Formats: sequence, structure tokens, C-alpha cells
Amino acid sequence: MKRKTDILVLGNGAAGSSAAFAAKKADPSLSVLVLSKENEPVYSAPALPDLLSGELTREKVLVRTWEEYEQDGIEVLCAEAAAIDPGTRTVTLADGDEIAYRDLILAAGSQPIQLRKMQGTSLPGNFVMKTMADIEAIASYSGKSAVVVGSGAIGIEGSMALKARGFERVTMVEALDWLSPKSLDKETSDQLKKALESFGVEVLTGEAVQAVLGEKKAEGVVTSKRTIPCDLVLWGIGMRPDVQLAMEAGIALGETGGILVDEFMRTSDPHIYACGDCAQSTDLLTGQPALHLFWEPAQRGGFAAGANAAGQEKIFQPSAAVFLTNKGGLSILALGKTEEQLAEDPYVLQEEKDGVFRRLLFEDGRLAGVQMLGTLQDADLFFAHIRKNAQRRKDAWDLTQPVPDLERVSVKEAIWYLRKQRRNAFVK
Amino acid sequence: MKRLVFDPARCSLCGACLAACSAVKKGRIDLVQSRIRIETAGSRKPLRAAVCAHCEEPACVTACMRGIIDKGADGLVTRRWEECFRCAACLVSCPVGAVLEDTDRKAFIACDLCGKAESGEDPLCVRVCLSGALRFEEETAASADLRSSYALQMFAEQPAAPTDPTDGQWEEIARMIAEECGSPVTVKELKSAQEQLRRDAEEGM
Repeated sequence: MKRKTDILVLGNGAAGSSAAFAAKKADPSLSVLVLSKENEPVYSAPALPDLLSGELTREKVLVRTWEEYEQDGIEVLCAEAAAIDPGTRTVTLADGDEIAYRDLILAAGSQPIQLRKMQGTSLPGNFVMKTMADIEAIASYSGKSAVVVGSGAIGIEGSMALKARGFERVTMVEALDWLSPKSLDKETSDQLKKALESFGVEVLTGEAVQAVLGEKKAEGVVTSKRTIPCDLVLWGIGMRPDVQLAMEAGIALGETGGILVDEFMRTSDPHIYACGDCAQSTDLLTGQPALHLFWEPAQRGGFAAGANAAGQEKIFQPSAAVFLTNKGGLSILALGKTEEQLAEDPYVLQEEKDGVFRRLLFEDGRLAGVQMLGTLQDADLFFAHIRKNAQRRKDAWDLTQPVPDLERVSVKEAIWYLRKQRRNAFVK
Repeated sequence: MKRLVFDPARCSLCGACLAACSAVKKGRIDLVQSRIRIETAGSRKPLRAAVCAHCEEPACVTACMRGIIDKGADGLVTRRWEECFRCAACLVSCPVGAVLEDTDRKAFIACDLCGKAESGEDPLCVRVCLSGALRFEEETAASADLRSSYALQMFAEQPAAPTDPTDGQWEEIARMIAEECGSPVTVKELKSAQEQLRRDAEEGM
């Protein structure tokens, strides 16, 4: 059987669903069909830890309902694509059915990295946290102790959620020297470690997991330093873009491994667009190609891809890597450069007071990065300065000024200066 | 669409707009819960107002991890706050720092112009600003005004220092707030809110 649609969207996450709704909105006369691997309307993947902890119900993590798809005239097929033929503009499904499209939008998302070659990683009791089904699987698995591998957002939020769920012992293991080293400096990590410990999570750094123990199910984890008995292992060691089908169809990938797209989200094939985790984006601060596997660029990229596939011209502006957690009484925000990335004349101001930790990183007297725990205050101010300073060398009308006497000011005084400077030099 | 426009040169930091906002939205005078905030930097000198600008391409709409912030055809940015799970992405992405956490509703919220966008009538916060620092104006008029106020700062004499409301004006402000909220508000409460605001400003909150 071969069916036809104007717009075919592969994927029903933040990017795919946004693309479908945007395409239909841009031109209601078009037929829009979404292929969804999961039998769920789009839900908020970043909220899955809250579903695991019991803080939120299933309904509370849904972003749209099936009724909304129907109301807008968007058809959804719960099926998996097996191949794309750009020549005949046809997608073949896993069951052999074919769908002919006018324009195709790739929004396959990303896959959690799994170390299948490592001993014991395919035993029951090994979990990832990417889909609603993953959460349900963890929830229905009985256990009292868990090892969480990795210290990114999944590791941190997963550890907190398991603890809140009632796990007696939760141990987070990070192979590198400190937590989330891509986003945080060691000083921030030390503070975060203290915060996690206050929630009852044990934190081990500089220990690589080498094997999962157990005969019939996971019973422990062997690290480079010790053996940790546990009932459950949650893997949060990273994600990689799902580009398998695109690659097989000969669509060009970028240097980061994501699908190469232009500012209109067009791939190397004129009738194929890509958005979300599977697509490569441009970093707002560095101007370099980047993989930003975040909700914001996925949703925004989806809106752009959908509108463009429907005949509009919507530019996708570069995105920023924002490390943000605000759950269960723990808030973490990291923006811009870490200390290691600072170039000329680096300077760091740091303060810890009343449960609030702020670390401001300066380059040439100008704010280049910020890391905060326990507060989100002035996030807009920091973001505005970091963005402006990252672009200042390209800007002929550079109005930014270094913070004077940086060596002699407190964090508070530096913030006052940044506030005044924003008022004087730029509006937003 | 009209927007809230703030001229720091005319603001005496009397706090009437914050008091009015929290009285309308929370039923009590609570500066921390006001959806308009006057930014300062360790002194009583106001720098700018942080309040939702109902941006053309709002960053909060695409940042929201629940998809509950919408930009309407009328230009208004609205939130289905009952559905908020407090990821804080809107707060972090807002270019003007207009988002705050409503501690009673357990949701992130921002100024909704009190439903005055369509009629264009002045919301209460604007009516109680007797010095004219906070205004509700069409965008074109607003930007022209900002340009002229910038030019004024650059080339001309500074305008006279803004003055606090007189006793009679405080009475009028209290009356306006009480009328809108349907519950009594005293001048004493307003003045103690003002003192709080100034202390916070000087401490550099």
C-alpha cells in the first residue's frame, strides 16, 4: 500500500510535533502526517525525572493531547520508518508500507549512549532515562539501591528522582575528575556535590565504571576503585543524534555528527528538512557548529522547519548551551565559558552565602561565563552580557566596557556594575 | 499593541506600582510577588523596569518545556500557568528578567497587562504612578519617547529630580488600589512597602 502526504514528519518529540503544528498553521491546505515511534502525544522529556520521583503525573508531562492533533488536522501514525528514498521521495516503514511525501522533516531525536560491550550492561536492571517507557520500566522494577552513571543533567536529576522515589541508597559515579565538567568548574562541582549529599545522594568522582555484576540481573557495579552493590543501574553518560536513516539516504552530516542544515533547516536534499536533536546547530556564543540536545532549540527548530517546509521563510537563529536544573529544591544554572575555556586575561569572582553560590568568569574584564547554585537571580543580566561579549569582536559599535577594578570588587558590586552597564550600553 | 514603558528619570522609587501589582494579583501588598520590578544597583537610583515586554518573538515561548506559553494573534504573551511544572526555562531565557515564581500558585508567571491590552486602558500600576515614570503606550510612541529621553540624557540638562508622592497623592493611590481590589489599603502600608523597596535597593538586592 502506498499513501501520500504533503508533509511527512519523522518523529513526534519537541521538534517533530512543533514542526507538524507549524506546517499546518503556515498552510492549512497541506496534509501533514507524523510518524511516532511511541504511542504517546508529545511529552516533555526534561520533566521525566519528575515523573520518576512522583512529583508529576503522566498527564502533567504531556505537552499536547491527541485531541489537539486532531483539531489541527494532523494525522499521526504509530510506526517506525525503515528507509528514506530521496529520489522517489518515499519513506518505507518497518512493516513494508510506503509513504510518498512532497517534503520530509527529520526529527528523529537522539539516543542515549549505551556501553553494550561492557560486561553486564544487558542484564535486567540496566536502565536509561529517555522515554516515558523508560520511566515506567524503572518504576515497575523493584530495588532499594541504585548506581547512577554520569553527572550531566540526567545523572543529577535521575539521582535526585530515585532518592525522592524512596531508594535507600543512590550513588552517582562520574569517571572524570568532577561533575558535569563540560559546564561546571571544579569549585562549582564541589558545591554541587555538597548539595547532592545533603539530599542523600552519594557522589563519587574520578571513578570509571568497568562492569556491571550479576548473573540474572544487575547486582552491583565495579568501578576503577571499588565494587558497589546495587539493584539498579541508571546510565546517563550522554546522548548521540539519531542519524541512521539520514546517513543511509545519503544526506550530509556535519562535523559534529548531526545532520547538516542551513539557517532554514534545509538538509543537503532540497525536499528534506531536519530539526531537533538529530540536527547540527550553530552555537550562539562561539559561532561554531554544535550539537545542542536541548528542548529550546528543538522546539524552535521544529517551528522553523515546519513553516519552511510549508513554503514560508523562517530563519533559525543560533542556539546556546544552557545548563539548567530546577527540581526538588536544587537549582543549577551554568552559561557561557568555563574557567578552562577563558582566553585573554581571565579572572574569576566567586561567593558562597546562605546556600547561594555564584561564580562569575571574566575575560578581559567582561563577563564570559556564570555558574550558580541555589539561585536563578539575574540570569537575564548574565545572559545578556555573555551574549554581547561573545559577539563584541564582530561588532563595529562595541559599547561593552570591562568591569573596572575587578580585583577589588565583590560579586555583588560586580553585578551592580553589570546592571548599570546594561542600562547604558544596550537595552536587552 | 500598547506596552508598559518606563522612564527611570521620572521614577522616585515610591513603590506604588509594585504595591498595586501585588495587591491586584495577590490580594496583599507583597513586593517580592510584584510582576513589575524596578532594577537598582546598590542605590536608590532606578535603572530600568523588569516587566514582560510581550516580545515579537518571545524566547519564553520556545524555551517553555511544557509548551504552555503562547503568543496570541493580539500580540499578548499568555501562560496556562496551572500546567507549569517550574522548569524555570522561561525565567532563564527572558531577555528582560520579567519572569518570577508565584509562590502561592507554584508556577512561573509574568505581567499579563491585567487584560487591558485590548481596551488600551491604563492598568492600575500605571494609574498609581503619578510621576508618569510608568506609562502604557503604543510601541511606536514608546520608542520615539525612549529616543527623546536618551537624547535628553546625552545633550540636555537632566530633568528635575523626581519627587515622592505628597500626602494627598498617597491617599489617592491608596484609594485607587482599594477600589480596584475591593479591600482597604492604608497609606501606612504603602509607605512601609516603599521603605522596604528602598532598603532592598540600597542593599543591592
